[in-house]
Amino acid sequence: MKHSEINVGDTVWVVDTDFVYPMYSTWIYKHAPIYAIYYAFGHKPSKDDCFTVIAKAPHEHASEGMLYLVKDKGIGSCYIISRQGLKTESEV
Amino acid sequence: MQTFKVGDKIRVRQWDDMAKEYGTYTDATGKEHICYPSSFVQGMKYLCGRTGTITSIDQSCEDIQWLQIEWDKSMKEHWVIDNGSVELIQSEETCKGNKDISIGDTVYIIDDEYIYRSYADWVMAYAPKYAAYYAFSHLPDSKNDVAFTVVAIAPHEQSFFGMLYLIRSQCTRACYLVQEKGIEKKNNTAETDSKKLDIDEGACVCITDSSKVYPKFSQWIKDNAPEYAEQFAYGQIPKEGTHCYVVAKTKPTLTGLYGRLYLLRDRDTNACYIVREKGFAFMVDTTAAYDNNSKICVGDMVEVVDNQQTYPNYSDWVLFHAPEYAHRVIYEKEPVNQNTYEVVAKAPHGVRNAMLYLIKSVYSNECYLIDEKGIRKLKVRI
Repeated sequence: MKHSEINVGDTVWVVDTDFVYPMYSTWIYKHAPIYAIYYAFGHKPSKDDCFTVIAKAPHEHASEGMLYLVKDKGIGSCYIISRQGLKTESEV
Repeated sequence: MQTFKVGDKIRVRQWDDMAKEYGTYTDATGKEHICYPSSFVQGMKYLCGRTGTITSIDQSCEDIQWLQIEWDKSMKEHWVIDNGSVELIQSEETCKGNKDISIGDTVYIIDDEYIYRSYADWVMAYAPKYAAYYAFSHLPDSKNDVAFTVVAIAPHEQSFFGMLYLIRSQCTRACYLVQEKGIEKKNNTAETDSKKLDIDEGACVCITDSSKVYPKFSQWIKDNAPEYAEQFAYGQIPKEGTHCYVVAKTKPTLTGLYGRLYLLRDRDTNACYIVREKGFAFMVDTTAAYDNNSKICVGDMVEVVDNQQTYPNYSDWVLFHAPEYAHRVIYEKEPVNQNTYEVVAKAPHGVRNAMLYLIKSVYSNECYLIDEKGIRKLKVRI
């Protein structure tokens, strides 16, 4: 299945937490340092939680594809996740 | 004027407050300054409200102290301030805390009610280099996060709450901010170890000091883990860097006799070793990834089936898990598909939940780091 494109500002849902990168602090320092403090290092979000995409950038290994920094709409914690772990509004 | 000691936490007084106490004067250029005995001038006004720690004191006059301050927020400017322009936040004695916990100490969480899950400002002010490791909005995982190392200590912005400690999990490396009441320093006596240290069976560890291995301590096995007697590698000492699982530990009733020892089982060979606590370090628990690939072990012969699964730049992995092969790894290049290689090291990816293998060519000494998806085990073993 081909996924639709996700852009910064989009609302997304986490559908598979296996695609979360809980310890990829180097990515966040490189691509979204202002959000580093909100990165929930070592933890994963709950499945089906709703988030806002606040940054996107590729994994350092191109084969891993694009990664998204998503921010919890409640408390504001951030997680790094790849496209396969996300669902957009149009895919709901 | 109030006198201070080195180590005191201070805050620069507000301009209006000083102006009221000492008065002001205007210089020839029209700039307003605070009157003697304060030496606070217009250009220092932006310091008002800033906090810091006194690092040295020069007392040239009887009452006036000249204070050198190390600012809490990342400020590069250096000012020497007189003692009339600052106020005490916390004395040096209080800063030390009443538990004598200092940076580098190992501590345990005794009450997670005292953890600050979202105090980002503190982390950014006092330990910005740990910002991306602060587990924002989360509590420690009781299964993996057992022992912690103190990495920063500083007061809460409201002094009533006392000192806060940024502690880093020795297992997951995640950081948590906690009040003094929520942690307890590790006591080195065996009795206390048995109460506080709770390394669960199944934890992933890496042997870091082979001098802490007891290769001939058969009695311990008999007393504590007789079911592993056959797997006990009597007389053998594992290599530093060997990855193991904790399979047993000294029974609480016997800690006084033996101290706290652990039985570690080599992930690849299943050989068991008795190791003292300081002889190993925690690794991130990647049991799931390991089990999925348990068929391929170090020493196995494999065939490369997809060389696009190679990690051509992941030198950190090599340096951490197999430094002895660092000089042989070929970066920026892939191994040849369908060629045969020997697995010389295996360990989890540092970020992803996947197992990586360091493979060495049977024709040369060239090594490559590759994902499990890129290799297939052959039915031969050297």
